[in-house]
Amino acid sequence: MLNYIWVALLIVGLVVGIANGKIDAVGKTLLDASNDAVTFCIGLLGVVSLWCGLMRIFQDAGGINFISKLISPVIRKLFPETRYNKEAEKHIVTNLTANFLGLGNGATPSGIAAVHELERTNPNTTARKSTCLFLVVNSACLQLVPTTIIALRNSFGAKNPADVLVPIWITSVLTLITALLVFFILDGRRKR
Amino acid sequence: MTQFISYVIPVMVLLILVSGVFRKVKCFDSFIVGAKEGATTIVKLLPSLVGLIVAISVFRASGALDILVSFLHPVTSFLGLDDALVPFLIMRPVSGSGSLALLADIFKTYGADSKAGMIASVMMGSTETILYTLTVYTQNTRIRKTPNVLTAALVASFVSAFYAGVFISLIFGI
Repeated sequence: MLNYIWVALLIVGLVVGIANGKIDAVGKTLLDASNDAVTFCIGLLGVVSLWCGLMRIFQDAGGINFISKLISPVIRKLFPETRYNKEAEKHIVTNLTANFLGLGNGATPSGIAAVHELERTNPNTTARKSTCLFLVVNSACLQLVPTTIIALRNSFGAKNPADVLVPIWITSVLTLITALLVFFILDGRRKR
Repeated sequence: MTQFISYVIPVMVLLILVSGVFRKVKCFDSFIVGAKEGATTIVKLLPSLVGLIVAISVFRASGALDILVSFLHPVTSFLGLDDALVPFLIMRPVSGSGSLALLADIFKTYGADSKAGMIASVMMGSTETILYTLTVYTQNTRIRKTPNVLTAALVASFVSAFYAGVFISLIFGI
């Protein structure tokens, strides 16, 4: 999908630029923007490295187990089927914990494993309700410290780069509740 | 509120270090391992950011973005949305690096502390790239249909723009 969007942005941009007589600006933008991208990455490099280093200390101190224990009861409520599928429950908990701590690389393998485990005995091509629910929970991103955003705000000269933390927490929870509500309403309709 | 926020990150760092010392972790060694991973992630992000930021900047500089935004203006003004957020709203469910590039574009054009910049920051932190997640998480299974997941996720991601707007106004008075 991004393949289409990317080509479309560039081709439409170039054509409109020529039609608008803004080809000078467009030509300069081509060069400037690629430099900008490098500047952004350098701006992210420090803060993201710092936070990943700190999170590694937390991981090595057993932090994942600690958070997992905290969220396990909620997971059991939300996914009652996992009572008979401990393996799936383990992967779901690991995935949501990794997401919460912002360990992007840790979240994907356990997410794939969780879906695989939930669907193992399903002969259909339509996903089970618990799988759908897991994906819906994943669509809202409950993350304790959104490092990239804070780093980017910092490199663009925000006065308090971390001041978006509290609104992000509140909005994440509300977004998750909204996603779950919409899902359960639609799911109830489908059954009827 | 501002007072509380300035404590959040330093206190978290303190708690992490204390937990490391308490569990006898070789803190600096662990830190280096993690920091290396973080640095690698960003370096790997560079090529896609170059491509996306160039594409978005060309689209904006040519005036094409203005055309798109004014074309969608009746819809956005009806919904009470800021025009500046339209491209970001469209990109958010599709691509993580794409929305990061647009977030940078919004910061550059309107400022990181502008209302649009704040709302986009909050949306970035409270929604996921659901299309990517859906594709990757189900790729090794025979699932082709995930009833209602996309609808629920897209509705929620859209509504989060309103939540973000409301809380930004309430907390920061802008």
